[in-house]
Amino acid sequence: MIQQNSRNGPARVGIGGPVGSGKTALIEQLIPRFIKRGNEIAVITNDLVTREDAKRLQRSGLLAPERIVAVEAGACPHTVIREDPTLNSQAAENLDREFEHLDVILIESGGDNLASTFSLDLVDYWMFVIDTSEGDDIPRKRGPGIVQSDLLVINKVDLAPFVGADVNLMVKEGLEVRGGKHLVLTNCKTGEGIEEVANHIINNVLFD
Amino acid sequence: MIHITEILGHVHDSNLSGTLHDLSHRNEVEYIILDRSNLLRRRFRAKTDQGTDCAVSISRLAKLTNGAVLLLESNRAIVVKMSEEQWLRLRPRDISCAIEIGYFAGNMHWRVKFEKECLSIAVESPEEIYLERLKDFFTTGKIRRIDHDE
Repeated sequence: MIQQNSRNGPARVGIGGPVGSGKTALIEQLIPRFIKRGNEIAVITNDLVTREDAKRLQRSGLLAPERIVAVEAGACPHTVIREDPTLNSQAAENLDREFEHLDVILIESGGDNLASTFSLDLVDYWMFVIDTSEGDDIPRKRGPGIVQSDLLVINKVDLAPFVGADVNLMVKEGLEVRGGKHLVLTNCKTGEGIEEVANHIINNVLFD
Repeated sequence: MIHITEILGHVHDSNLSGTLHDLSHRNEVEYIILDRSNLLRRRFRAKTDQGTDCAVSISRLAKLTNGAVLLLESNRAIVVKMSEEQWLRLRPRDISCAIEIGYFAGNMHWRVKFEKECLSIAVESPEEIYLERLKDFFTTGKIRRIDHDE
């Protein structure tokens, strides 16, 4: 494993997607996996006018509370991860200063629409989380988040039969609109697919 | 895998250009080809045009450019090359159509440039996506696609 501080600071990984798609649940699944492999981790959450996601993660006990920082977007969530990511950049720099051996900072966007994307000034790698209950036509709607993200995560695969969603269709059309870029199927309640998500992060920005 | 942690300079820098010139004659200059949007990255995994696996992790204050030199050894150099940008050049039928397509492109968060009476849209994902979104504009004759020499 590369010592990140000899490699220009910790990796920054963005996690975006619509409200309720499972962004926070994905982070809850990723944290123990990174800790288990010896990575030092911190999290930045973005909410509109509250700190709900940060509080949820702090309550989970998965990570020391001081390693979880909340940013209140105050407006459309995409503005603070794309148009002007200063608040998040500063939060990341503060964490980097405070915890000198950090390997990775996960930055969770506030829930947004399919047009939400991350500035590459802010993050090194970003994923977009959708879920089957939003409808199996979501991938072919070609939102910028779906098309441009480094990794598309289709969550709640367990719910597909109950909401009449065709997961195979979502995969087929997801790959088509993304030009073959990776996507992963997950169930963030059980951990299904999370190892694969972690491996994408490790391979692309932790370089193991 | 080669770890790259800094930008050594630019291909036109006088202290690098001679060595690069010699290496290029021996086919020992490799290129990491990035499109414009990916030049913003500071930490990423990439393969050179000759298949060398690179883990790039440069300072957040650094900025990749077309021609940035990332590695310079006696028998190998690695240089960033920006891929050619693709543009969809559109001519609106009249002023009202120009306003409408301008509004639409902005609403789609598309990157554009203006060339005389044309609006050019940067093609940053499969071109079919843009053409499909613009279908109504084309079918109603509000815009037409033109080549650069028109």
